[in-house]
Amino acid sequence: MQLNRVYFNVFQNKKLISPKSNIPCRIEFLSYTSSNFDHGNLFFETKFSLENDFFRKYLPLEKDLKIKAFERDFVLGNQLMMERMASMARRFSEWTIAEHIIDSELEEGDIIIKDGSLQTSHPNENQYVKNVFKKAKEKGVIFTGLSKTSRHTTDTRIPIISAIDRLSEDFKIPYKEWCYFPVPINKKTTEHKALIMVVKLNRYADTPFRFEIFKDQADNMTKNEILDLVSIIADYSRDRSLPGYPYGLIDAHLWARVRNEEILGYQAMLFSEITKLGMWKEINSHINTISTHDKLDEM
Amino acid sequence: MKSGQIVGGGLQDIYIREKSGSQMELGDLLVADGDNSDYTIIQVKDLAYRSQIPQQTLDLSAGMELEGYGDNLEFMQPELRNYLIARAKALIYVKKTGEEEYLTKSPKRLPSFFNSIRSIEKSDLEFLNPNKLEKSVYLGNIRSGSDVKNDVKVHIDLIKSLTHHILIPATTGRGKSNLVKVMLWSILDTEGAGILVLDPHNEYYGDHVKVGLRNHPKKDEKLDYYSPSKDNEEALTLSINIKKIRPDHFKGIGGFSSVQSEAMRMFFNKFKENWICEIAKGKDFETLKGMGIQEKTANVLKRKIETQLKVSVDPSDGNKCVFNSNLFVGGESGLSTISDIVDSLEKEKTVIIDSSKLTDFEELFVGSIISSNIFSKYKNFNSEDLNDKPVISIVIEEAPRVLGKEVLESGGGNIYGTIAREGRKFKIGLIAITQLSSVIPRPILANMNTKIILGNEMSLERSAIIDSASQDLSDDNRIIASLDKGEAIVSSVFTKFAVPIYTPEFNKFTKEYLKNISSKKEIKGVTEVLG
Repeated sequence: MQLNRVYFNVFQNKKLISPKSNIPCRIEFLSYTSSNFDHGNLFFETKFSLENDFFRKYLPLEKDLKIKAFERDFVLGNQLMMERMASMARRFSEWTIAEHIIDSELEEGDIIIKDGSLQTSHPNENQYVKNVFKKAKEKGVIFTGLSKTSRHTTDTRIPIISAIDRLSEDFKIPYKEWCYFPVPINKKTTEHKALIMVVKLNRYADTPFRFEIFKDQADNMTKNEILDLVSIIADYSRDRSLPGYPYGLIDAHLWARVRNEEILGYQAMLFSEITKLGMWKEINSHINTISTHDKLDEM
Repeated sequence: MKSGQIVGGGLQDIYIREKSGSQMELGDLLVADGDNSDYTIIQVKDLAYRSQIPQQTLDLSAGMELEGYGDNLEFMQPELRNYLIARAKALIYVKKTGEEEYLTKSPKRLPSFFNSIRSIEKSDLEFLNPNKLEKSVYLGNIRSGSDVKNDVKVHIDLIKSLTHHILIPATTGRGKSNLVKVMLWSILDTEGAGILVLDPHNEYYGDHVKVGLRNHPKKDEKLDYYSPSKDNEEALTLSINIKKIRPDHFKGIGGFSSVQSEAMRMFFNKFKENWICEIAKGKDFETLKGMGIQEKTANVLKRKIETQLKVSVDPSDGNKCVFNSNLFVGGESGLSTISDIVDSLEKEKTVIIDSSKLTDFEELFVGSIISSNIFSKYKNFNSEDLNDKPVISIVIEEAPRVLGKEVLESGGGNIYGTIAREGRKFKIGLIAITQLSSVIPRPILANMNTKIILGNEMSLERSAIIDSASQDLSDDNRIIASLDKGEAIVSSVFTKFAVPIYTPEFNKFTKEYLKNISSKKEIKGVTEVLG
């Protein structure tokens, strides 16, 4: 079971503005992911449980969340594999909701920043990404993503962000805020439709970040236009709480994060229902095997 | 318009997030509306900064700003992330049950969680008492923080409040005299009370320069003014014939020991109304022995009579009594002064005694003589007669001089202490003004059922007041400390909650009053009566 929460905000002239349409800024839903063997293949299936059925139109189709495990997934082990598959519901819904936001909230020339990479991790996700990018292109909304972390490394296995940051220091570049692009990517990841950049958005930022622009759009932008775009985002990255990180994403983090105590509430309700069904004893023994880790954490 | 939203807490401490720019203040009265024509009045007891940004980040950020690294940094959405939290307390729950009918309860329930909060308005205070009392004393206008609601005037029941004593505690310069002047002015306008004012600063009556009670339109019928100074043309002469003085007038005044008090009684028994002169003349050993008085005691008495009453003898004139002050006199003068004053008080007049030229002893002693006369007179009325009599209140400045623990314990009590404890039964009360409430015994403080608390920066004094207040003021320590001149809190058994007020400056108040009188207009605003 997973509690998913997707949040968006819209800023104009550095002020938070209310949504124009009736799309909720915060969409919350429970998802249930199970694994089943079908003709010798391991499948993961996710179902939604919505307190408010109004949210359903913003979510991906459940059929698209029936996902076959690849050989490489088995390397992760059962627990991690399940967690990864369960997170698909949230990842996919981020794309569907982004599409709605572009459709109903944004205008030509607006910029959307997704928290995280524009990279997809599953074939079923591609269709959703395509739809969003298509919508963005149609409306002239620039689609970008900003990642707090990046797994990309140089040939010498140094994280690419660190390497570029060090480069900027070594060369004593005369800019307090800067961006580096294009960051070359592994040719194998052909599905990645983004211009990858490394950006330092504020002079007091502890670290630069990975920033991406939807490739079709970036390809049609001049260098100055890209710099203007980054400058606009830099202007939104001056907040004292985390210089160099766009404030909209700080705000989104606060509203979208799921706190442990919230989960405990749902957990209690779930356990209560399981008990009513007379299945507590059986389920509890499964839970206990997993919760040993939590108990160790508490020591 | 101040506004906020309840975000937590309990009955003792309701936490309210302030809407940015509301500028809530300590002591602000706010309203949490209910769903059924009901609302709760709450009061801000404390304010604190709160931020969604971790303290460590704020500290660092301030450091950057201070050390010159703060360029290109800002607070995004400052109004959302940095704000004030008000700690408030529910004062009273009000439900409108009909036209001008209200049900009030001390708050036993909380306003709804996340309820919006707004500033108090005049209409929110209509529950106080729509049936206006005939006899009331004006104290000032209701105040929310430092915002004075000039259209809501605060009155308190004249008879009840005066009978049950009023304490006015404050340090110098917080507006005690101004408050008393405004109260006395208001009392001159009403009926049912006689007020004796011992005025050590001669500040209440006024003169050609300073506005005072003499400017009141009812001055001639309602105000008497006494002064020992013969130069004071406007005043009646305050001279008391020593024949009217009794030994018990000295009780607890003048530092007489029990032996000396007993000796005075012996003199009185033997010489009746001439007893003071006889002490001054001195008696031979045999006479004293016959009266059971030691020579040493008689000598001390003689000396005290000389120094305190300024009564001595002239050996060159056949040991005739000599009166060295205008205050205590012999012969036929001053025989009716005390009875005149008592009569005036019984006629619901305000009597001001200018004691500015008197010593501490003289002032208290004059007060003691008058008070004792009133007390014994009222005590002897049967209950029917007493019902028809006005309440009499004695305004006493620096009250610990007569109500302090030490004075009451060492001197065996005095008339002021007696009035404080028993006066209520006989419609006699005190308006005690003090800077030092802590030295007044707790039972007496508790007996003062109305406290008009002005600003006080002394923690010990605030504690004494709070501990003996009629309402729970345990959260008001900081508020009392921060009261500005003219601001006060009225805590009384006759008010439904501790009411914050602002007493207008006397000169402005009288100016407006007189202007309205001359144009035959009523004073602006609706009068609300508390209690």
